[in-house]
Amino acid sequence: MPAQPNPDSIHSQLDDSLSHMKQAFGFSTDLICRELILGRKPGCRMALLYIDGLAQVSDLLQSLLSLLTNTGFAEGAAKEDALQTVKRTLIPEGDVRELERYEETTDALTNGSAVLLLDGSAAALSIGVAQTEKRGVEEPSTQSVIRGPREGFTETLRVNTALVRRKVRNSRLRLESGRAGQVTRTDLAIMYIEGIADPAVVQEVRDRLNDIRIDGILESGYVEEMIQDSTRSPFPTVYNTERPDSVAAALLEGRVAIFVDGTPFVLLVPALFMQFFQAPEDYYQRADFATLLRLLRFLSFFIALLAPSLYIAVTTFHQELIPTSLLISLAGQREGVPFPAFVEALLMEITFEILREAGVRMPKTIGQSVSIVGTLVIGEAAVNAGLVSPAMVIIVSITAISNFVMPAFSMGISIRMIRLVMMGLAASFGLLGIIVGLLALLLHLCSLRSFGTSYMTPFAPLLMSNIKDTLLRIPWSGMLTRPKPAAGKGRNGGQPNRKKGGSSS
Amino acid sequence: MSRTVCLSARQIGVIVLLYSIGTTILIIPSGLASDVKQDAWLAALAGVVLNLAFVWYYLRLSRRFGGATLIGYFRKSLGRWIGGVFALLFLLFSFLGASQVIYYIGDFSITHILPNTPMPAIHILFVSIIAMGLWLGLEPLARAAELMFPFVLLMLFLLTVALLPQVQLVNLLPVLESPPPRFVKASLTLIATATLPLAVLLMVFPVHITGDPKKGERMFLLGALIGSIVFFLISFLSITVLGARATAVYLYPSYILARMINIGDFLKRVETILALIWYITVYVKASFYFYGFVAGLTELLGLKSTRTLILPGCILLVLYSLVVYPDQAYSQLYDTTAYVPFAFFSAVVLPLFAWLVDWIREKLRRSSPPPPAPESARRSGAS
Repeated sequence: MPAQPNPDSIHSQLDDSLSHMKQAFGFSTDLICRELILGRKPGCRMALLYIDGLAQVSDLLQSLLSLLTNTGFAEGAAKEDALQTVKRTLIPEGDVRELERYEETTDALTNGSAVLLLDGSAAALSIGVAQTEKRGVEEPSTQSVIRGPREGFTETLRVNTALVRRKVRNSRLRLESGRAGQVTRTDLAIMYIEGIADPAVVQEVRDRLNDIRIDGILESGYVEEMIQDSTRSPFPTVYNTERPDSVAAALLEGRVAIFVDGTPFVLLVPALFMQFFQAPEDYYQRADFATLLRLLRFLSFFIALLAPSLYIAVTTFHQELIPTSLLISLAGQREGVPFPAFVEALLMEITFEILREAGVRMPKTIGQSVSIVGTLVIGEAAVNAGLVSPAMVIIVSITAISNFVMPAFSMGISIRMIRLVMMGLAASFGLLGIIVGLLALLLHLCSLRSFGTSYMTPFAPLLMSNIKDTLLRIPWSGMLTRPKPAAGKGRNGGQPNRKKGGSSS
Repeated sequence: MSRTVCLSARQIGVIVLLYSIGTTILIIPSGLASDVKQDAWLAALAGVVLNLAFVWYYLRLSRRFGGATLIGYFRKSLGRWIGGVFALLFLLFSFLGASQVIYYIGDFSITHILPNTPMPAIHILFVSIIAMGLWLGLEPLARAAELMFPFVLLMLFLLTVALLPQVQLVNLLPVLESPPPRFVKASLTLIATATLPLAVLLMVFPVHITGDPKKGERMFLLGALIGSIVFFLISFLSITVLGARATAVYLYPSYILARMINIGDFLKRVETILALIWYITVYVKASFYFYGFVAGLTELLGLKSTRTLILPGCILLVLYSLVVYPDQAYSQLYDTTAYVPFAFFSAVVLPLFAWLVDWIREKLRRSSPPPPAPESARRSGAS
């Protein structure tokens, strides 16, 4: 074999390869090169490279140094075998790989591995000693429950996959890893259960992840936007969660989870409209109560979507719908208000959105002043100033509260956007405008797909066997089959497992 | 035209149902009552039977299509040019039908819901969501219909139950007072409004239906049956609650029916909410009428996608729906006189003639053993 067929392969002279590595990193100060000499007599020169802060090398060094004087080594072994000997006898770590090209070594270093270069050997060893700062497993802040597991994902991919593995103890749980982001080289992983997940969906996920062309991925939101079916829809077609139990449940329903390193938010596909109304807690509580909660969420969905527009339509066009006594009192309230109902509603909605945005971005210590100011602008003071009517204040408040009932934040965002359109339609066409708006919304929802599954499944197309976990949440004893579109055929063989996983872990 | 669009048997059933009651329940009680007074409900009952008979005719006809739409079948059996003329006549029927439906929803809206809004604004709004539906394609449209169906059914149920206390059977007396010719005419008017437009659905059925064709036919028939029960029920309620005279006087008696709802002074004035039924059903009817026009014209002109014609078609539709009826009196007169023979000619006679020619050709082909080769070549060129 010719000595240097490829400029990228590692030099066999230690000095050459060391300088190459240093140049590759532009003499960055956090690249540490520790040179060692192994054995007596001529000895075997080697260098340990790692990036300070990413790799934890003290154990490795200790082990290497304590064996430096190993007499069985160096004297007997030929130089070609040195690498193998080092690999087999000297390194205490589990994850050791042989590398032949510089590209691989730089990769390994940026991943937090240590790289061992040996004089006289055209290969290097990467030793998995990555040690990053980890946040502990804490309670998720976005999807909290009263009853249910308190653990949430962290920013570390490996911790997250382990959290799910601990819930689904089955060798059929598959994990595939990859990279995306041409500059950041972020780790991605997809997880699914062989035999439950639809292979076509899994393949589709792989393909779409492979198609990602972007410089950097810093959060799973990047991935979500790159792989979703329709970018122009206000509705989310990818579900995200911070909860390992949600992911485990979704895997059992045949979905595919996408983990992205550096964020606690894991993506789940395919995501259906119904899924955004389901909270993990539904499955930990009594079925009848969970069903009532679901219905309440649907009601809240419509209130959050339509309350201001219905108010506008009714007070502007259809006064006959209001009982006379209420009509008189409403008219009395609106007497001093200078704006038409639409402008009034728009003002209040925008004020509320401003308050909400401020509340999210503001340092926590100033939070209190926001709430004081908030009660002034959306409340008694605004009414006393004659800017809005008291009824409008109530409408905006109930709309805002209803919006927070949505278990999935991403669906709440869609509602906020569509609400404004509905208000415009109601202001121009009254109830007809609202009906037309709802028809258009329905058509749009029916045209959406998430990874090949119709967004409105199981309502349209109707799948009777899947209705059991939509508006209703029937007791576990009644859930005999897996959800159809995503799952394999047949009865739910894993149902008892799921029952345990749902209520005890 | 792509053959990949697939609707399920259930979806076609739902579409047939909503399609046959759209506009029918809005205007038909009035037309029936002005013809046969308190016997309107009997005319509607006769309409149920006639409805099913004609649906059976359409289903038998559709079995001969062999993977073609109605437009394709015209050209297949009558040849490129004569079939083309037939197809154009049929397209005229669907275009006129669509604009009549749009006129009705506009007129209904400015009569009862939005008295001060100009009619063109309502037409443009309504046609724009029809355009949206067609743009998205048949499948989302069918799924949306499937989703709306339970709400329509629920509201119809509420309407019926809430009106039961006000039913006065004495309004039905005397029974069978009207002379038979008027009775027949009333039934035919009903059929022309409710059943014959189903011919336009032959642009969708059975080409775009998946699964067992028998099941599709069963659901088609079931949808038509439930639809006819609904319009019978509405006619019956109109006569018994409002009385024959009032039913005939109002243009949209079923809306007045909803206005009559009053349960303990608590549940009342819900007609605007129940108007949702009419908007949904009319939307489905107008969409599929117009789909028939757009898809048929696309096929006739050999265009690749129906989308090309949606925008120009919709502009035409808005304009024509504004002039199709000059006023309400004209619309009532036209619907009970000129429209009936026109509908029978377009939706019964034209397909029947094509069927006849097809049947005779097949007989001739059977009697002369060698199959004419240019026949099939021309057919493939035409379709």
